[in-house]
Amino acid sequence: MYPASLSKLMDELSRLPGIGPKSAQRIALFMVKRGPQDAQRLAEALLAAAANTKRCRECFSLSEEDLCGVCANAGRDHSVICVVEEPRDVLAFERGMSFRGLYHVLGGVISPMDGIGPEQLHLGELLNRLRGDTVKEVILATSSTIEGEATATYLAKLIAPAGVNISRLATGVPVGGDLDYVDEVTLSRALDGRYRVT
Amino acid sequence: MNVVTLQVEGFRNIEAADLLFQTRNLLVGPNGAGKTSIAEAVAVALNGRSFRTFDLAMLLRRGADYWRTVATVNQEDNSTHRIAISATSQQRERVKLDDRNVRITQLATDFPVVTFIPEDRDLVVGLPGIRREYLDSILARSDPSVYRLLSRAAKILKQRRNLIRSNNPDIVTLDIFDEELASASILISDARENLLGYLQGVVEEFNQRITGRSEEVCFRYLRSWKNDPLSDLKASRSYDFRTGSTSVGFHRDDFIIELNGLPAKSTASQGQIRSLAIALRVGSAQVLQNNIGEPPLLILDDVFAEFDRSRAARLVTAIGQYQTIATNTEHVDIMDDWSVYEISGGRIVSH
Repeated sequence: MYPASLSKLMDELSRLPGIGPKSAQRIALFMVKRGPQDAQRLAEALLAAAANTKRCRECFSLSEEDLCGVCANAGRDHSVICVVEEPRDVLAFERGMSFRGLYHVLGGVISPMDGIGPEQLHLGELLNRLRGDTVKEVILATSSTIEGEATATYLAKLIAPAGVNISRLATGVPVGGDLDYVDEVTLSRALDGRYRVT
Repeated sequence: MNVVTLQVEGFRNIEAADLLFQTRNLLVGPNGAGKTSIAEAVAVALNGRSFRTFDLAMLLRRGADYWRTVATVNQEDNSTHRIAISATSQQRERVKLDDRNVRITQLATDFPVVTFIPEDRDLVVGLPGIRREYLDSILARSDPSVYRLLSRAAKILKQRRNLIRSNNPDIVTLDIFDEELASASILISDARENLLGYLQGVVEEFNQRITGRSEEVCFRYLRSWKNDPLSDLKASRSYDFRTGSTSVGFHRDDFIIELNGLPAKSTASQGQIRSLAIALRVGSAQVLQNNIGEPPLLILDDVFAEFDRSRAARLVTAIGQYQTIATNTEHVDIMDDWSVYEISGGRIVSH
């Protein structure tokens, strides 16, 4: 129905996450309509991003340099490491701008269903970072899913011998949320993690 | 809760049907006429799930582009609701409650339905999984926190199974999943045992009302572990590795039904088994009513064929408080005051 090169573009686009055949068709037709200059810019941006983005050698977050902006920043608190699942979790924390420490990206969570065990995660590298006296605290910031909790428990056991403080991200009532809409499990966790006001 | 009207289109062998329900409704017709399909349509219309199949794609009438059910329901608080469910061969079910999109799982707790089918004798004589499912379906609808607990436990179990079937599984990870499975299993078995305590008296009473005889009914919950599921899980590890399964946990429990002190599974007569099975279902309706505050709708598929006249009459009296939709191949004289639909070839031929 469409010219071969256009069909090929649609086919490639529909492999992207969140893009179905309809969206692929819309994007492809849009690009063709805009002409070769726009397409050139997009193609160059795609290539450059794919070629230049690599993993930070310390924390495995995304970076263009060997060391990412956070790890290279001497102004950050190098005594605290926040352990997260994916690079996008780093971005989530950085948007908040309240965390001044460093990160460590695991590259996933333990999930036998998906064939991911501890050996697939950047765990040895984390242990290496805990050698010496620089790091005083590790914050386990994996999700509160079954897999995230299991990974946090695993990490806690693994890190314990290193003798640093280990903490877990709190779970509870979302800010601005109505108590009425919070499920019982979350509410009972929030109760467990309550803090003193006076 | 009362179903007032039902519209069905493109559903099984029913091209289109419009029904107006009373408190007691009997669907009559020869085998294959479509009476069970109408009863099934009621269950799907209210809960989005069928008692005949898990795969709702099976519901689409041959040659039809879509199926659709629309039910209007009166609840205890005198509110009226309209539930519309439709699906095409390409598109999954879409549920609208009072013209708002809702999730299909929400319906089961708001509009409780209890179904009895002839296969329910397996509650008494069948495999343990059927009895667990019976308890879990009551718990899940009664208490959202148990619903979440059950789905969480099922996920832990799936992860553990994948882990023990993988090459060279990591033992620390297995420890963690075992701890999670053990604590979830304790909570689930306690909830089930607690529910059985409630059910025992209710089922005994219904059984007595149906049979007309006083029989002692006793439930005993059987855990798949002795004192502590975690230590049993660890002890059975090498066995689990060989079989690739998990031999201890909430998914291996069962309960024994005793009738007059003897296990019903191996000693009860066919008649006793049938009465017990229906008492289990009607009993669950009463427990649901207490927990949800909404009396469930009863669907009785092909029950009266198996009962003699006096038993059938007693059953009709025993379920008096619930709106009922029953199917049968012929008219039953004790059900003279019921609203009767005659069904043939997927059509309502008289009312």
